Parts: sequence; C-alpha cells; structure tokens
Amino acid sequence: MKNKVLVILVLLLVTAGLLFAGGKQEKSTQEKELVVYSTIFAKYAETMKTLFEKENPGVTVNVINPGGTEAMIKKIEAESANPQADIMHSGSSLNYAYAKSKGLLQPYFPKVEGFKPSIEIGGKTLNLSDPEGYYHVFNMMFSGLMINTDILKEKGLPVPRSYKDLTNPVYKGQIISANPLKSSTAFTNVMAIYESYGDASWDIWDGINKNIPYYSNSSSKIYTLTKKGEFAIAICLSRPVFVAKNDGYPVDFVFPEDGSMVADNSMGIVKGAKHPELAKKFIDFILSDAMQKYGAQFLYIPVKSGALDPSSPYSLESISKKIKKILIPDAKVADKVRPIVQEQFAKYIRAK
Amino acid sequence: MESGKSNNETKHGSKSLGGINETLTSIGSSSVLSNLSIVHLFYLAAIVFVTMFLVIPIFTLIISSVSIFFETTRPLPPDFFGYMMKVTWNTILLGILTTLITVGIAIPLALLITKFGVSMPSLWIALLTVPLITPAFISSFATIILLGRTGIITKALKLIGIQFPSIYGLLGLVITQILHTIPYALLIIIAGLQTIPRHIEEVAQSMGSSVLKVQYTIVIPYIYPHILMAGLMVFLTSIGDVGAPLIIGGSYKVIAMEIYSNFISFLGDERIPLIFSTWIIIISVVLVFGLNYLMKLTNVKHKFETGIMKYDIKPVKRWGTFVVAFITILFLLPYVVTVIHSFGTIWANTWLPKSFTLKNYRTVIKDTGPIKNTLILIFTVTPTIVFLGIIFGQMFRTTRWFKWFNYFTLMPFVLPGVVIGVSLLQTYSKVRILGKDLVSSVVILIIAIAVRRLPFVLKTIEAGFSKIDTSQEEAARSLGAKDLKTFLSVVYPQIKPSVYSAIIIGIVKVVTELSSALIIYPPGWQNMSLYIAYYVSEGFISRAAAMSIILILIVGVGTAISNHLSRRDLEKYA
Repeated sequence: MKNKVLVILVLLLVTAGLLFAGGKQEKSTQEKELVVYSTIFAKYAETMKTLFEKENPGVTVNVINPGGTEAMIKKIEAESANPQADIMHSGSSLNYAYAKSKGLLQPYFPKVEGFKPSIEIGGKTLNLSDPEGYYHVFNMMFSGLMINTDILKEKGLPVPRSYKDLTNPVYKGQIISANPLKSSTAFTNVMAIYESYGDASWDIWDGINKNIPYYSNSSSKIYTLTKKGEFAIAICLSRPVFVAKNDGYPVDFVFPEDGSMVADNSMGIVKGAKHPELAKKFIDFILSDAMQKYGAQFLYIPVKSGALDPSSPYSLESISKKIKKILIPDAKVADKVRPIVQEQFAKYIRAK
Repeated sequence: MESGKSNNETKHGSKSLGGINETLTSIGSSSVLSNLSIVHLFYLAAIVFVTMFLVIPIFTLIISSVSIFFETTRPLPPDFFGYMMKVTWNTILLGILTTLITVGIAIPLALLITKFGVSMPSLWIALLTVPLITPAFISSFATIILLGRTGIITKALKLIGIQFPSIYGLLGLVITQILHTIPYALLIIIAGLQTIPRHIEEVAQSMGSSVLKVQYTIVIPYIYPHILMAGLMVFLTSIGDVGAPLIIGGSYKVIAMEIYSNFISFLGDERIPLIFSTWIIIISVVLVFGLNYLMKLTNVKHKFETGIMKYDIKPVKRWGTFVVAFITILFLLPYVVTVIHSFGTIWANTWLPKSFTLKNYRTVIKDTGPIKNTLILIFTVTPTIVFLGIIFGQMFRTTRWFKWFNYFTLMPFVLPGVVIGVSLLQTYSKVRILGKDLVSSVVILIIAIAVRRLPFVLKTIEAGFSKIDTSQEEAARSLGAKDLKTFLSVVYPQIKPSVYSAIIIGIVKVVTELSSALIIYPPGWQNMSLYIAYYVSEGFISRAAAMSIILILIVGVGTAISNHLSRRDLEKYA
C-alpha cells in the first residue's frame, strides 16, 4: 500500500511539474492581438471589434463576455497573477472604482479630440475620467422607472411620476427591482433617491419595499419580466426600455420628477495588460466620434456634446431638457452610503 | 451462463466472495510495483485528473478566502443564524419535494415503457429527455409564459374563475426542477429495469403472484439501487440548481443561489459563499453517507444478463400508451411554447405572439461557430467523462482504499459553476501549455466542463456497478484472466445499459453547461448555451428560443442514435 501511495505522489508531482514548467513568454515588438473583456451586448461588441480591426490592419480583437460586470471583475481578479485581458469594458463606474481599489486597473489619459475629463450637465459637473485616469466613461443612461402601459391600464393604476409615488400601496406586488447588493442598476437608483431625500430616503424605501414582491438577482431579468407584463413597474435604467419600446412592446420610461441619476458605462486598461499600446489605442477609439455615434444608434447617450445632432432625441442636449432634476453620481457619497445600503437591503431581503 | 441457483443463494454466495475479492485486492496492492496492473494506472490517471482540476483548485480557493474571517471586524448580522437555517430549510424542502414527485412519476413511467410494451417506447424516451437539453432559464421562461401572472394557462383558468397561485417561489421552482430532473430519473430507472433477469419474475408469476404484485414485491426492490441513485441525483441537482432560482425563484432563497450571488457581487457579504459552500458540501456528504448505507442494505447482486421479462397485457398496453403519452405531452408543454416563441416576434400579455417570422432562426444560424463549438465539446468532453466514470465506478467498487475519494466528486453537484470556474482560473493562471497560457486555451474549457459534469455520468454508472455479480469476476480471474480482461469480458457487459444512459446524460449535460463556461471560455469558443444566455440577458427571448430548438434537435439526434444502439445491443440477450 505504501508503495502505491508513493507512486501516486510521484506521478502527481511529475504531471504538475510538466504543466507548471511551461514555455517561455512570447515577446514580439509588434502587438497583434487585443483581448477585451466586455459585458456590452453582442451587436455592439461585434461592431467595435470589426471597426477597430479595420483601423489597425493585422490586429485581431478578441471580445470575451463573462456574462456580467461582477463576473468580469471576478475573472480579472482570478487571473491577476498573469492577466489575460487588456481592456475591461462596460459597466458602471461604481464597479470600476471597486476594480481600481483591488488594483486591477492601470491609469491612462485618453488623447481624443473633443473628449473632456468632465462635462456640464443640468448645471452640474460630471466627471468622465477618474481623476487618476484609471477609468473613463464612454456613454450614459439615466435611472428611473419602466412602466408597462397595458398592465397599468388593465389594473387601473396611475402612472407613477416620481420615486416617491412608488410608496403608494396601490402598487403592491406590481413593482420589481434588482437587488442593490448585486446590481449596479439598482444601486444607482438607491443613490438617486438618497441624493434627493437624504436620510429620509430610507422611509421612502420602507414604503417601496412593501410593494416589491422580490428583489431579482439579475437586472436584465426585470426588463424582460416587465415588458412581458408580469410586473407593471420596474426600477431600472433608460436604455433597455427605449430599445423595448422601439421594438413595439407596450412600455415607456419615466424620468422621476424627484431626480434621475446619470448611470454611466465605463472602461479601463487592465493592470499588467500584455498589449498596452493597443489597449491605449482602443480606449481612444471607443471615445472617437464614430463610436459615439454608433452607440447612439443603440440609444446610448454619448458623452461628447456635438457627437450627435442636438435635436436628436437621444442627444445629451435633448435628454437633459426632458429631465426635471438631473443627479450626478458622487463616489464619496456612494462610499458613505454603501454600508447603510448593505445593512438596509440585506435586512429587507432576508425578511422576504 | 445460466445459473440454477435461486436468488437467495446467489445473494449469499456473492457476498462472501466479495469479501474474498476485497482481501485479494488488498494483498495485491501491498506487494511490489510490478504487481501494479494497467488497471491501476487507469485509477491513477483518474485520481490525478480530479485531484488537479477539482480538489486542489477548490481547496486553494477556500484556503485563500479563509483570511477574510480574520481581516474583517464586521460581525455577522445578528439574524444570520436564523437566515441560514431558513435558507437551508428552503433548500432541503425544495430538494425533497422535487425528488419525491420526480421519482414518483418516473417509476411507473419507466415500468410502462420497458416492461408493458407501450407503443413507440423510443419516441417517449427521446421526447422526455428534451427538458434535459434545454438550459434552465429557457424552461423557466417557458413556464412563466404558461403559468406566470399573465401566462396562457393562468389567463385561461381565470376565464373559468380559477386564480392560479403565483409561480414566483417554491411552486415555480418545483415545476421547473421536475421538468429538468425527470429525464435522469427515467434513464437511470430504465437502465435498472433492463438488468432484471426474466426468470425471477417468471418464477414469481408461476407461483401465482399477480403482475402488479410482482412489480412491487420483486421488480421495484430489485432496482432499489437505481431508484436510490436516481433520487440522489435529482436531489443533488435540485439543491445545486442556480438557473431556475435566478429566474423563477422570487424571494425563495436557496443555498446555491446565495453562494452564487454573494460570490460574484462586490457589495454582497464575501463570508457567505465560504460559509454556505462548506455547509452545502457537509449536507451532501452526510446525505451520500446515509445513501451508501441504504445501498448496502439493498445488496441485490445478479447473474449475467438473461434478457428481461416483458408483459403482454392488451388493456395495460393500450392505457399505458395513453398515460405515457399524456404525461409526455404535459411535460413538453413548455417546449411547445418555446417552439412557438422561436417563430414569434414580440409576445407580451397575449395568447400568441404578435406575428410569426423565420428571422430568429436566420439570425441564430448566420454564425455556425457556436454549433461547431458545441459539437467539438460533445466529442471531447463526453468520452472523457464516460471513461473516467467507468474507471471511478470500478475503482470505488473494488478498491476499498479509495472509496472516500467519491465524496470529492459531489462538489460539482452542489457548488455553482462560477465557483469552480474561478477556482480553476486562479490556480492555473500561470500555467503554460504548448506555448499558450492554459487559461486562455480551449483545454481549460474542456477540463472545466469535464469536472463539472463528471458526477452526473459517474452517478449513473455507479448505479450499474452496484449490482455486479462478483462471483463471475472471481471465476474469470481464477481461470487466469488479467484484471483488464476480466473487466472487459465479465464486468463491462453487465454495466452496459448504465453506460448508454451515462452517454446520453453526458451529452446533454455537456451542451447545457453554462456557469463555468461563461467565466472560463477562451476567445472564439462560445458554444450554443452561451449564446442562449446572451440572448436572454439582452432580452431577445425569441432568438434564445430559436437557438434552444436547434440545440434540442442536434442533441436529440445524438441521443436517438445512442438509444437505438443500446436497444439493439440489449436485444441481443433477449
């Protein structure tokens, strides 16, 4: 028996040794490949790949979608000893601030005409670049409410105009939200209410919470369920709602009168990226006018004024006219509120 | 190879021979190296594989995250224990309900199909494996379309004044999980029924027992190991399921979901995945421990294949066909919905989609990459895990020293795939193979899916091994046959029905693997289930439905071939 164990151990070590020995790192002066981790939808991913390859002949872009921003961060974290990705793309800047704090990103300041590190919106300043350059916003959405007009009509419910309206008990069982502990979509909405009402926002949440049958663990599901008519109202972001509306679903988006918060889509270069030069080029490419316009085709709001005709319904200019009160995310406030959110929603969810 | 001994004597005889066999094996293994036969090398390879790609990564991950407990000063929430107990109770209740109902439906179905000559048995088996091929979120959505608040059946019932209860929660979970687990139970139990020698039933009948009585006094006890194994597999699948809880679970919280959602969330409590992972592993080990004990009690060993008893009772046949068809149709309703959806445009709060189109199919087959990748994965992973399953099955049966290793193979059942994926990435991120990083080559994807799906195949094969007649093995060996030869000529033919079931289960589990594949797939290796997941998350449910239907067709052809081969093969003995 002893012998057998010994043999097993020896063989285990040999196999492991063989695997770990490995070949030597490939080194070439010209970067030929760019690996982008992105959770953006397939059509956009495909286009950014094709266009970037066209601009940089001989380069192959590989886009990998791990199925969610948090999963993407987890993957980059697991690979951090030997990074496989060059770019982390798409998802809220809240997630990027977290990735930065974990040491997963490296700084770069884009060199793009017309891109400013901060812009004025609704009389307030929105930072597009992390002050230290670790991540950059490339397009935007807004927080608010998705309504299924058919279901509201069928149930004889009034159209909600603000977050506060959601506390009305007539909506019991008809509101769906993602879990703010798992989804930046939901967290952005929580922050919107907090910035409008301060500490009184928790009383509003107590009311809304009573109307929510459960918190979904995935934000994409709440759009699907609401457009199908399973729920009358979803607490969500603007873009997917506009898309569903354009497809012909009986839905609409409400910019809450008590405030609608900017929800950004960010990107950054992964620390230890194997193709840093192409990565920098790629960041600049995403912020180019062409890609800004392309994003707008999919109802993303561009971050560069002038990228779209101001009269277009999805230009920064016309959207900001539609919104009564624009709220700007504030990383400092978010850091302060996060533990309260954690405690408050963990309590709501455990009690459901 | 007929034997004149009665069942009772056989049982006794094989037991004592089994004892001798074990002693012989242990004597054999304690002698010098040259005594290691080729069979031992196979054992070794299998152990190395699982150790390297499952045990080491998971324990590395657990050990690396234990430090969280020492770093945080934040106490666990005061109601944590209560919450944990509630989630545990939810998980176990769901598991028990799903298991009882699934096995309860599968036994009579299997009996009717295998022994009572219902018409077109292959068709029903093939149709009933459809739910297995469909990714959980597609069936969950189909269930919502049928039974949701604005579902077709819900609305129809409302017209006649019946209010269907909300499916978001336990009810929806049980329905979806039964759909998904009935094929396992059915395939394993059918494999079991095919090993019952006809003479046992003939004797019972000739002594005046009625057909029904023979079923529950002879047939069902005879396949206890299969029933237990089927139940175990259904239960483990149920408690490890993340797909259904994600979509239809509502506020019904289960352990696997809590691990999954806290594991990939930066605001979640990172201690929860660790506590709950350990907890669910303990629960499943205790469960299997208990089950192994039960298995020992049902020590039914049997003689070589003699063909199975089939009954020819006209009314049973007719009504049986009707019942089997009815249940099959009921189970396939969500898939009928999926078919309709795949041809539809938008479908909101109405009886049928707004209009019909072929566009969804055109879009999804424009790129043949995912189909090709899915086929490649079937042909690489399935043989690997079936082979490993046979090796482990034989090893656990004959080598007492490695029985405990079996417990490791439970982990992939109950741990979410994302945990296993991340553990592999973390452990092997620096390893290079053929001048490429292992974690960005297709090898890691194959390994991840193999590790994730091995247990399903192994459990199916183990059920077959549980009834091997060791006396023949001994006879062969005493006549001078080597280990490998003994295995191939005496043991393997006896487990063949289970191997065929394992191949089918292997294929479908490989194509539907999602959560580890999502986090681990290398560039260009998206398979069909990944695309289905993307379509669902982008809200293109009808495209996802079209892709699922194509997947069902591809796998359906594969399983139909396997089924056909197995029938032809088994009929040789009849």
